[in-house]
Amino acid sequence: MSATIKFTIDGRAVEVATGQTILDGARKLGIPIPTLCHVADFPPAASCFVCAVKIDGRPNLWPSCAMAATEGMVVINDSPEVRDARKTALELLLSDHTGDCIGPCRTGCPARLDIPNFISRIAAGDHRRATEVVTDDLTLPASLGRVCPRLCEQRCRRCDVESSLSIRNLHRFTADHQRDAGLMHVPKKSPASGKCVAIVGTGPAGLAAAYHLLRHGHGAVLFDAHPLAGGMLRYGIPEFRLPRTVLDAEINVIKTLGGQFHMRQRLGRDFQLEDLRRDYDAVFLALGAQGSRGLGCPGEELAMTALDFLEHITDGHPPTIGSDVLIVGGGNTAMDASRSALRLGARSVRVLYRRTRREMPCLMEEVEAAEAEGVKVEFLVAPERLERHGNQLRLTCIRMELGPPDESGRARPVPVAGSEFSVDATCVIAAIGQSVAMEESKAAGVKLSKWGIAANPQTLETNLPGVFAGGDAVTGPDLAVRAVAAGKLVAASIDQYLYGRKVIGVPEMINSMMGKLNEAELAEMLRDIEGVGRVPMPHLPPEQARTSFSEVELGFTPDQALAESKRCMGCGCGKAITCRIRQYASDYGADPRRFSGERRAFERDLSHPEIIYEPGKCILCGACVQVAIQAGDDLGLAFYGRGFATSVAVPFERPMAESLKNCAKRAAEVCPTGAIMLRGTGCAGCRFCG
Amino acid sequence: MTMNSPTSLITAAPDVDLAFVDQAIERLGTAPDAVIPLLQAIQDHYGWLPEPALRRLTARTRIVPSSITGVSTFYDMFRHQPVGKHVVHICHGTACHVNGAERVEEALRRHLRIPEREDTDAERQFTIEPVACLGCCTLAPVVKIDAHTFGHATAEKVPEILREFHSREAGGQQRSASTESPCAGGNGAVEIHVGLGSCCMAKGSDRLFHALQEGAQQAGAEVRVKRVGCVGMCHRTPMVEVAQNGKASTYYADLTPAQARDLVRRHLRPRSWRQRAAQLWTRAVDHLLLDTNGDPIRQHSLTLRDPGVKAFLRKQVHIATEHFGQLDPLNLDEYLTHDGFVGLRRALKDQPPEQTIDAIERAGLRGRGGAGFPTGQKWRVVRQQPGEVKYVICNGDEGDPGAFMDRMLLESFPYRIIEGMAIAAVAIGAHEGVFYIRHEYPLAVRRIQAAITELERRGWLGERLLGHPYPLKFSIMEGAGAFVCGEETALIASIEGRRGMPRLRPPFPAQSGLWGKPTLINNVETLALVPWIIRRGPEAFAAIGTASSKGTKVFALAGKIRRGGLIEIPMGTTLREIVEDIGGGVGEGHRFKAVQIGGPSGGCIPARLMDTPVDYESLRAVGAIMGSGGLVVLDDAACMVDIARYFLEFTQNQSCGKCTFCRIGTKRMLEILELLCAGRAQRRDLAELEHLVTQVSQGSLCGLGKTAPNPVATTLRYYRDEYEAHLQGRCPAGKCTALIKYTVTTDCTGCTLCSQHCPVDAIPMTPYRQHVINTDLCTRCDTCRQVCPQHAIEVR
Repeated sequence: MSATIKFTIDGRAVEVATGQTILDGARKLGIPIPTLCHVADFPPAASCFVCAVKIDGRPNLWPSCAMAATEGMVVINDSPEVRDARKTALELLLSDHTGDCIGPCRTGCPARLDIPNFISRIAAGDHRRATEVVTDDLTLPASLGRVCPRLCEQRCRRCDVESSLSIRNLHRFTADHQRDAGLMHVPKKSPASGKCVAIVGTGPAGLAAAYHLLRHGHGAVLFDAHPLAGGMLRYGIPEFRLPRTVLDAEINVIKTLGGQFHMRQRLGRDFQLEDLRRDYDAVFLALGAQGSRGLGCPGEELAMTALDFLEHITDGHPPTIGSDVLIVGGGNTAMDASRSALRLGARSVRVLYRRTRREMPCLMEEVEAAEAEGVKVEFLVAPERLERHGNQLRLTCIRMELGPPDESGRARPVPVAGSEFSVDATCVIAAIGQSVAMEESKAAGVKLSKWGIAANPQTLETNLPGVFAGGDAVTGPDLAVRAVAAGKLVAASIDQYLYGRKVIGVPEMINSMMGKLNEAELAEMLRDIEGVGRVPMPHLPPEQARTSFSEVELGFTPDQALAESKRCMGCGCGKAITCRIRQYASDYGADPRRFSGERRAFERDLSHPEIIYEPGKCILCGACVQVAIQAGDDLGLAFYGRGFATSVAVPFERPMAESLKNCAKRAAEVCPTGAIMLRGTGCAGCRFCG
Repeated sequence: MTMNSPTSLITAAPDVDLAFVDQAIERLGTAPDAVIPLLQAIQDHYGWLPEPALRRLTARTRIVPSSITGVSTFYDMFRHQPVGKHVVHICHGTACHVNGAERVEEALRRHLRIPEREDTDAERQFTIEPVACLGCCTLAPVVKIDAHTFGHATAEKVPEILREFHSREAGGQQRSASTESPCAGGNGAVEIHVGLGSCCMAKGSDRLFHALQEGAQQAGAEVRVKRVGCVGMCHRTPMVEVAQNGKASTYYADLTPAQARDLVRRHLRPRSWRQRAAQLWTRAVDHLLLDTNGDPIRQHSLTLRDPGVKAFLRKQVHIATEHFGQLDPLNLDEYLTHDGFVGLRRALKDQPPEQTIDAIERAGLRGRGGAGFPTGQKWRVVRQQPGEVKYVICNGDEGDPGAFMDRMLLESFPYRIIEGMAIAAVAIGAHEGVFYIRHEYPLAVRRIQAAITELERRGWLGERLLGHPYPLKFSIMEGAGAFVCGEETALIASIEGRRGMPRLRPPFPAQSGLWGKPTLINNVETLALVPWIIRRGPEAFAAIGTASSKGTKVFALAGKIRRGGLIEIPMGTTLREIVEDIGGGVGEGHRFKAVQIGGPSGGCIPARLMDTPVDYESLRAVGAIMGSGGLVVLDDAACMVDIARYFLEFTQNQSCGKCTFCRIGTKRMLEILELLCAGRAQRRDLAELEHLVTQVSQGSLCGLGKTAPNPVATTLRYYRDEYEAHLQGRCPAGKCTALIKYTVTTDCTGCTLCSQHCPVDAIPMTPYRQHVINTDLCTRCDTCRQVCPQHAIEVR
């Protein structure tokens, strides 16, 4: 037998010593082969099958970590078959991998705000770092801290037993706190690139894009048809919810960074897209959804749209509305309009909604606030026609009942025959919804989709080179937080574009999610967690609130913020960054939800002073078992059972504290997932790391 | 059905007398590889593994805690919780499954008051334990309570089985051990052969054997009651052959011990005139008192000319089962008079090892364990390996549900297997051999042990082999219950005292096997064929069979078949010949649908492909494999989706838990099949199932994972319409309980039988009126349909 073996991997020749494996050869060549169960110098486990390769002339796939190379062997590492097998192996492992890579709140946030991290900074009293963490993902944190519908909080693990953590109020607090202290966070900028990007629209998408592009060292010139920047945040949300001083302060940061604003400039009227493409290195279209939908019944032209109504108030020219105001619609804008009407002096403000309270798209707290201030909401009513009767408007309505669900999943309202009735009002406001004004974009020559401008969701590129689009203009009317996320994403894409790199956007890491926990798992999760109620947000009393446009929600005091921040359980995995299964799954585009079914239970052994063991995350590579053997540990670790139920644990069902006496650190090192984590180096928000 | 559910190790530790543990350590040693025998001893002694006993092991031996936990939670036979006074094993083998084992289990649980999710009743009298396969497939469904086996169980018969068990317990009828005593070779003009294989004994042949012996003794007749091995015709057991010099043998089937005296009387002349007179007198009195017309025993008799017997035997060729039903398994002298050890003597004395290997190669013998690797080539590789120490292992870990060939061969022909093993050892140069036999086969273990002891006693094994200076030592290692240990590398791991987890091959065991030494592993049947080949020459063997598959193959023919049993047929025989000619087709009123061949690694071959010849390549071409020889016949009552689900449930549970695709992939496949059987699957689930079929098979290290998808692949290939029907919420075979409903038709005469038998009171009693089944209460146990004399129960 010769001392060396020559073989090829993906056509590249390599020479290894007799007995060495295909993986050894690949590493020598610098060909990355993923593997979870392989540890250098350990006997090969050959169990994860993520390192599978094809060998020419042999059926099936072979684990490269264990397969000894033979003379002339032809190994195929990069083929659709191999990639597909690795992807499926990862997907199978993930289907039995019980753990949240990042907190469920964070996966719930469209901007992927690192929630446990910033909250832990608040808890530690480090407001500067907290603001930095927040601003990195969430431009305009103080503004969004007032208007965001808080998708994150719906996912909060505390929801399973009590009220969720008050996440939005906490990032509002941290931003307000720094601003009020005169420490407004202005990020560092990269060296100037000499490139300049035109941004059309100064709503949350445009502002966020400008913020990040400026940080990257590019120039940002913003255009907007309105006299002031802020988009819907300014013109669609009343002052009592989002004070202008708060918004202005956040826009000022962008000005400080070097953003130039050209106001009262409308695309298609004052300038053309071609001009921008000619004069700038890239263009970002963040036009928003400026259109409003009417009542959809005869006489709809007699009604005012809610957007016009709110915009006029912002401009300082509140329309005359009289004493009896009718608002048709059930969204947040309907609530904003109704509460604004109260503040303008209307005696009676009624909201008509065609479904019931349960189906309302607005936040419950917004309806409750409106009702507390005196707004009447009537359900299961739809407009039939609007007529003018002298000074009055008469809205004929029909009663509805709920039928079977429609495409949106909500119950479809069905008219009740013969139930017509009329209501008189001095003003009728249509708050039915917004739409994208397609004409502008069409004129600009970009391709359109059903909802707005057509853009690649991964990169936000349009059909025109160098022209990107995002926010409501692409998705149709949507949340401000999604627009902010789009701004960050497009900044990354434009940066890649400007430097001539492949435009890939911000490829997201895949996230394993435990989903709903059963009772036993929940008990395990909440073991030694105190059941402390959510700190309520201080409000102006309703009778005072309805008389002025002063902000209603007053914000947390530092003590309140501290108390609330301590409720965070720091969900998420301490190894989210170093976890190999997450990295490979992201590389191979694995879908963690492809397979569903029985999975390992969530369990957490906290008995060991150095490590935390979560058997639910174990992929049975056996590396820790080997570590214990090599260290000569008394009890060691053992495989339990057989088949799908196989697990790794301390023999005789003893707690982890009795095992891994001198080798816990090494075990955590070799563990390819977060099943064994070292204490103290875990995720920023982890409460076990103190 | 839950097999091997993870058991908690934490049990209130009762005071355990640990003296036994110390004795066991004394006897079995303190080495790490003694862990399995030690745990087996503890399990056998205490009925479970008390933690103090395990801790004693760690304190007194070199076995580490992780080994004890790892091994004791891997194998089925170990329990970490105390058992009840009696243990009820319910076989869930393939034949038992298609014959309604699940319903039997339900009924047993009801009658023994064992709560759901538990395995023992509150009074701790009975513990119920599902078993992968007891290897008595022709008696399906089979229940074994302690040492008593009951065949053809139904939900209906459960009370009767329990009564019978209690009466046998009270009578202390446990004599099976005595069937292992060496037999004296007395001569008699008449010989009565009683098959004493496990299946026959399960049907009471051991009790018949003792009754016959007593009868003969009382009669003082010139008769020898002789224990023989498997007679093959399991469907007629207990079977007795009466052989008289110069006369054609007469066979008696389905005899009871009570009829034994009659049988003896019918065939023999008592020695003394006084006994003869007594016999005449009693016969006359019997006639007067009982008004019998002639001899009632005659009803049970058959001869080889009987058409059923003739058809069963006509196409068979007996090589591995040579002299079947004739030899006393443990009578060495008898074996010698039937050419025993002629082959070994030749291999030892007359030809060099190369010539033996050459003969095996020229015979075209291929491994009978399933994959069909050329045996001679395997021997040659081991022979060529450098090094002094080599091992030979007999793989008797027949774990496939629905297979019992190896058990029958080990029980019936222990000397033949030992001879085959010895020939192999001499050919490859090994001086040590291990019989790895599953612990579910206690009779096989006892007979091999008895045979080894006898050979050692005569000095034919041990320091010298058949008197030649060739040291050869044989030992037995009992498996502990893990299908995957049939895989060579897992089997080796098990012998070495580890969890039976396969490793990557190469290196092959032939290069680096037991304790890292070159090791030859052959299946029982392969070894059983070896002596014949060496004795009769390779050409004689190669003359039988097809171009690529030579010789014969032993099959365990079971399932929905009239004449089930152990058969040996020439390769190339078609499936049709096996099912129709030998087996006599399926039962009346049913349509033959498919055969399941090869067990969990094999596939279902539909009736329309019944002309497929049995050889390795043809079977593979239709999606099945030869497997070890389980052949389960399915009729139209079998749901093919359920069959696929059944096998996946098995392999899923038997997966060693190592490879991702096998551990999780088979689980996901099983879950999709369960959704299908529950009528809750969607089309994309089916697509995912097909995807997994390919990926699990190509992404697993060992044969278990590689072949696990086969039952799904073949049923998808041949019975896609049934999968489609399940997608629409229908089970065409009326098997999947979630998709069927029992109703009473207008044919009902109101006889109330169904109502009386319904175990869950789902049928109110309405005499002389049509009965109605309350679907909400009905558990689909099928009892009503079985008892209804009018066939008025409809399943839809």
